[in-house]
This record gives sequence, C-alpha cells and structure tokens, in this order.
Amino acid sequence: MNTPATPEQRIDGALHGVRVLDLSQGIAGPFAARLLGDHDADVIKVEPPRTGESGRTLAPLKVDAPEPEQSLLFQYLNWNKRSVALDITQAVGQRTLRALIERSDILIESFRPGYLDSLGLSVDKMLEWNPRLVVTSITNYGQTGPYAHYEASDLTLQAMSGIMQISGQVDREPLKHGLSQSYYCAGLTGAYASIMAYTAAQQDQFGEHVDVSIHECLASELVLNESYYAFLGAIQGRRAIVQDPFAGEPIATRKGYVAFQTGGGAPFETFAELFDRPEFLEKRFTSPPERERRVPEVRALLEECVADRDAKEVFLAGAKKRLLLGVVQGASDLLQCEHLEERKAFANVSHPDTNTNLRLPAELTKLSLTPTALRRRAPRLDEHRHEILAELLGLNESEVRA
Amino acid sequence: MSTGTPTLPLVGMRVLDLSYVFAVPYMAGLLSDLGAEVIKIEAPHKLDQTRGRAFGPYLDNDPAQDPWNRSGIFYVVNRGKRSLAMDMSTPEGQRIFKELVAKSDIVLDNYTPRVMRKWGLHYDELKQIKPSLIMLSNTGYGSTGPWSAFPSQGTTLEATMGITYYTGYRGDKPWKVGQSYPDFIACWAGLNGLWAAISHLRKTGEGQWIDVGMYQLGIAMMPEPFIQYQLDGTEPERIGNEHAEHVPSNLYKTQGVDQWIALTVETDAQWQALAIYMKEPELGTDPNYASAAARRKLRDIVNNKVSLWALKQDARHLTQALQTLGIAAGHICNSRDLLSDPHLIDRGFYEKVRHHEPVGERPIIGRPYRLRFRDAKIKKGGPRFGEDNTAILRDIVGMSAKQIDAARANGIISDIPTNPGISGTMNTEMMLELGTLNALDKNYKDYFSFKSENT
Repeated sequence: MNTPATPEQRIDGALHGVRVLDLSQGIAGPFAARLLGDHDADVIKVEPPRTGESGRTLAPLKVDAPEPEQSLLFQYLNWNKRSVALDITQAVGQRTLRALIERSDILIESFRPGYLDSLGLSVDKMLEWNPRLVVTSITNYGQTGPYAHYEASDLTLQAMSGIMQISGQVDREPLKHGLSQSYYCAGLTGAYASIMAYTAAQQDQFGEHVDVSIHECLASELVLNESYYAFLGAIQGRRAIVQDPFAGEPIATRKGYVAFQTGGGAPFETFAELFDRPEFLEKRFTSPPERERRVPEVRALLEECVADRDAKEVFLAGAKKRLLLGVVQGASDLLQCEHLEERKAFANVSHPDTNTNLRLPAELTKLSLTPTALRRRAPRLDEHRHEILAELLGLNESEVRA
Repeated sequence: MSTGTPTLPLVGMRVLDLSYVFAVPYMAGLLSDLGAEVIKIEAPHKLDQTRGRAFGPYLDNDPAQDPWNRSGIFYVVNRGKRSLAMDMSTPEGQRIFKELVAKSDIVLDNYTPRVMRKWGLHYDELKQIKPSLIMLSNTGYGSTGPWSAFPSQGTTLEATMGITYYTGYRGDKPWKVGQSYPDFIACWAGLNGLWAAISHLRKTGEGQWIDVGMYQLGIAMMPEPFIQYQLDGTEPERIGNEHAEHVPSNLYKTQGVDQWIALTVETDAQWQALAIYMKEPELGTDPNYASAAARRKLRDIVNNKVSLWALKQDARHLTQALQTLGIAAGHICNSRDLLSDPHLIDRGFYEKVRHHEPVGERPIIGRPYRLRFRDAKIKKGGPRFGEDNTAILRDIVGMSAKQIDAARANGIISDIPTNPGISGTMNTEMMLELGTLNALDKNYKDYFSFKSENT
C-alpha cells in the first residue's frame, strides 16, 4: 500500500541493495555514479591515495578548507557515496579492488582506453571475477575507433559533435554551450545505460561492458541536423543575422530577456491580446510563410512590444494565456523561483570541511514509489575505509590499513 | 531466469507511446532499440509536429501526396515503432486504449497534466487496470507547482532553465545553442527514472508513476553558477568559446570556407609544445606566457597569436597534429562531415535502416553507447501514419474485422491525418542566401554509402 511517508521514515530507492564502484574522475563518471546513488545504490568511490580523484580540484573551490576537500563542485558530484583510497597500480590495492568487484553489481570508470588493461585490470578479468558485473566506461570518444585516444575538452567535444556548427550567428564563429555541458550529458547517459545493463544482467546472469562516448552523446542531440542531410542533402548553418523572433532567440526587455516560440496551446492571435496590439491579428503576421518573408519587421514589432516591460512579467502573462514563452534566468533568479521551490528541486547540502551550506539542484525526476533522495554528503577522501573493508570484506583493524 | 545467452532487457515488453516531438518519442525509440515493442499512438486530428512542416525536412524537399510520411526527423526519433492513429479524446478511443494498457508494461506521455486526467487516463486510473504499470509523464514544469499548467517546448525552456544565461559570445546577449537542448536532457533524465522503475519492477512486481518536469532538469546541469553565486555572490560571465582558467582554449578560424579548429591547452607543457609547433618556441619559455596565470593575464594577446597562426593551417590536419602533441583539439564538423566521419563509421554510430518506399535506406543516429554482449540496434524504420491500425486492433485488442471497420467509419482510427495542416517545401534558396543552410548536396547519398559498415 502507498502509505504516505513521514520525513523521518526512510523510503528505499529503486536501486536499494545494488552496489556500485565508482573509479571515475572529473564530472561525467562521478555524476553518473551519483545518480545511481540518488536511487539508493550503495556507491563506493575508489580513489587514489593522498590526492583523491582529479574531481577534488574542480572549481569552485573553498580555498580555506583543507586539501583535498576544497572542491564544492566535487561535493555536488559525489554525494550519496562512500570513499575508500586504494592504490590500484599496486598488488595490495588490486587485491582489495578484486574483493570489492566480487561483491558489486556495477563499476563505473573513465580512465583513458587501455589504462586498466595495462594494470592487469581488463574488463575480461573483472568479468572473470564477477560474471554478472556491469562495467560502464565513460570516455571522450569511446573505447574503439580512430579517435579513441584523442585528448578532449568540453570545447573540442562540442566542436567535433556538430553542435557548434549550427550555433551562433552566420557571420560569426560557431558557438558552444556555456559551462561544461558535455560532461553532464554523458553523466545522464552513463547512468541510465548502467541501470539498463544491470537490469539485463539480473535477468540473464550475463555481465556487460557499456562503452559510452561523450562525443556521441552530443552528436545524438542532432536529430534534426542529421536528417537534413540524410533526407535532403542539406547542411545546416548557423543562425541568421536577423533571426525569426519566434524561434527562441532571447529578446531584450527593460529588465532581462524573454524568448518566444509559436505553437503553444493558444492561437497566434493571442499575442495581440498579450501586447494589446491588433497587428498580431493580421495575416502578414499570423501566417508562418508570410512571417518568414518579413522577419525584420516582425522582430522590430516584438522588440517594441517588450521594451517597456520586465521579462519575467511578460513570461508569466504569456504563459498564463498558454503561449510558449521563456525567460532567461541565472542562478540568482532560479534560487528564488517560486515554482522550483514548490517542486522542492533544491536540497541543502552542508559539509564540515568547507563549512558551507549550499542550496543545490537535487532531484531530477519524481518517482512515485521509490523517490530519489540526498542521503549523505560527499565523502572525505578515504573516509569510509574501515567500515567498507570491515563490512564487505570482513577485514579487521590491522588488515584494513594497507 | 537465464536464457543461456545475453538478451536485450526489454524483449517481451510492450510500450505505449502517446508523446509528440522530441524528448519522449526519442526515449521510446531508444527503448525499442533494446527489444521493446513500441506502439506510437497518434491523434488523427493533431499531427505530431515532427511529421509536419514545422520541423521537416521532407524527403528531398518534396511533400508529395503524403507529407506526413516523408519527414526525416520523424524517422530518427520514432525508429522501430508501430503506429496506431486513434482518437483518444473519444470514449471508444479511451476504451480501446485501456484494453491496450492491460496488455502493456509501460505508458509514456507528454500531455499537459490536465489532459490525461480529463480523459480518465491518469496513472491512478490506469494502474487499476494494470497494477504493475510503469508510466512516465513528461511536461515542461512537472505535474505540480504554480507553473504546472504552462505550455512549454525545448526551444524557449532552454532560456528559462538557466543554460542560456551562461551561453553566448563574450560581452553579447544570452544565446541559445544547439537544437532544443532541453528535450535531450529530458530524454536522458527520463530514461534514468524509467530504468530505475523497471529495475524495481523486476524485483518487486510493483509499477509506479514518474513525473518529469523538464525545467528542473536544466538546473542539474549547471551546478557551477549555483555554487559560485552562493560562495561569493558573483556569477560566471558569458565568455563565448573560451575557458575561465585555461588559455588558450578557444575556437580559431583556419584555411578554407567556414573551417575552424577548437583547441584547449591545459598545462604549461602543452603550451610549450604548441609554441614549438607554431614555430614560436620563445612563447613557450617567455615568463609572460610560460605559466597559466601569465597567459590568463594576456588572454587577448595569446588568442590573437594563435588566431594569426591558425588562419594559415588546415583544420583537419591540425586536429591530428595537435593530438599527436597531446593537446586537446578538434575541427568543427557539419552534418556531412559527421555522416562521413571515419571514427563514427568505425563505431557504427549511424545505423543503416531500411524504411518503406520511397524513403528507402537511410542512416539513422544510433545510441551513444555500445554494449559488448547484447545486440542493441534499430529494429526497423519508423512507421507510416497509422500503418499498424488494423494489426494492433486485431492482434492485441482482439477486435473483429467488423468492429475495426466500424472504428474506422466512426473516426476512432484513421489511416490518414484528418487535419494535416499546411505542408510545403523548405525555401532552400532563401536559406542558402541567409547562410542558415551552408550547402545542398545533390549527390548527398554518396557521403553515407556505408562502405566501411560494421559487421
């Protein structure tokens, strides 16, 4: 029965009882592993001793905190995990890792292709140790193919994926998404592909190696761009110098930017009502082909309509009339958003080492029976050595120090 | 239960896909690659926008007699599915749908919250019919909260969800990038919720409802500004293609028309290697440039030096040459480059899929991951509008030929859209002139002739 849970009552998540080893670095792999932790998997971070994984140096940093616990981004990417430091280049560490692998369901890694093989830790070897194991590798260009060993950055991945070629203005350089979008995209894919393969392995008892390519995650977004070529031979370019103002381009208002799109729940004529301007009832604006022929004129009209208004107010007024509108919002706006508040999209995350208490995005989707939850803050390096080794491997005090 | 061989995880599962446009249709398409039988239920009177003029493109820019069966993008996101064109707003359509639910495992929809409730098809009602049902509802803002009734699509949601604020040329207004980015975030995040629910179902037999609000997914992709803002009250600036720390990390024009190289120098050793390769070795050791902190101070000068050098280089050659030096580099690829890219061909990223005539064989985007033991693949081309109407009602619902004829006569099902809207050709001449199209290749099929197809 669906009895409502009190806040104190712990509800098991969908992956309760599933053990995940996170050997990955940076953003993509750790984000994927954290998403499994959000579903209540027992995620154990296996990190190099002393420094921890490279994600512990990612900005923004709290520079007065002890190293290697300064990274606040690390805290976001690694909550719902425990940490044990193992030197997997050495025999002792490898023995412990093997014992952990034998007791785990999923292993996520993001080393450059071939590195684990060079340590004698190939996927074949791991599957020998645990035939039902799912190994998920998340790398720039995947495990195979001529670019498998390419160095990459968020920028070069966006360039080679095709996204930049169609972004920005025709007479300017191609443009990338801001921040580090490639790695978060790959994290989402790595997470669902891991659960998928785990589900398959539970059913037929065969493990799997999931080879996720960050580059292909981005190229997967280009469903329109690809079909332009595959069905028509057309190569899309960037955006026109004067863009169709109903194609989502942010338009300046008195305060902030608003974006417009046609095709919501309301007819186009509703814009006449929104702006109290009868021009939007005329065929030269209501007919899409007519509109396409006079883009500068349409754009000028729309700019005039919003010049003396605030972006968020226009957005709310339009959305209430069932028009498709957007408002450009940054972190400070989003933290105050009444809707995100009501949806409980943020959680408070505190950490004693950085002495911080941050409100961070915490819930992706709402599962009615097995909701995700933030159950524990990100671990200090090696924080859980004793409990992990004692609990999983039955090792005593003197044995766990290795 | 072991079948003795590795098996796709969704073999034997049936998915009812009520959704339109990108996010959820793509989710359902990707599920069909993993063995599910996916039935797309389309409204006779309201065409999926991806079948229509809004997105296109029509096969060879010709709408012909049945434009709704000629749209390229439709076939990318709806691969592997069957199509049932049925009017869900009628009591008879709802009755048939409930019969289908009883014989299905997963329902996916992207109606605004009030629609399914109005039809009596909310999860609470459907789970009475099928207690183990998993249902995913994707909306712009989720099913609760003050904005839940707002309409939304990816194009404008990208601004609202925050990414746009941090995207754009240095000093310029906010920009949107890519194509309907929020739809893909929703597709992948939705698949996370869905797979978690499937895993739970397999262990317990319990189904559940997944409420996806796209707006709150966007914020999960940008923790950096939330942290920075709460740490010191500042926000990251829009810096185009540059990197806040690494200099140089930018896009540079090279020889040729619209050819560009992206490169990122992360270490001082890489900078030295680049300086030597640029035949300006002194830049690698000059204290004004040698350290990352120094280069950050001279950002514009560094960019300028690399720009002048890059202009005389070949972008593709640079990708390889700089990679040899251990420097992250990559040229800008357009759709032709991608479909003929040796790496993507080697990995079999685009799959050769046979469609009904006259569409025929076309490359379709596969999946961004490979499985070593299980044969994930696109099962078949996407369906023509309503092409499985009779077979689904007969074989799954168990209706007689007479009942099916009556459903057709009463407009419950339809083999053609009853309100297809306007079609028309894309104005390619104008687009080429504006530069929003770069080229229109007559011989385009030569670029994906599958010469190096994977076995």
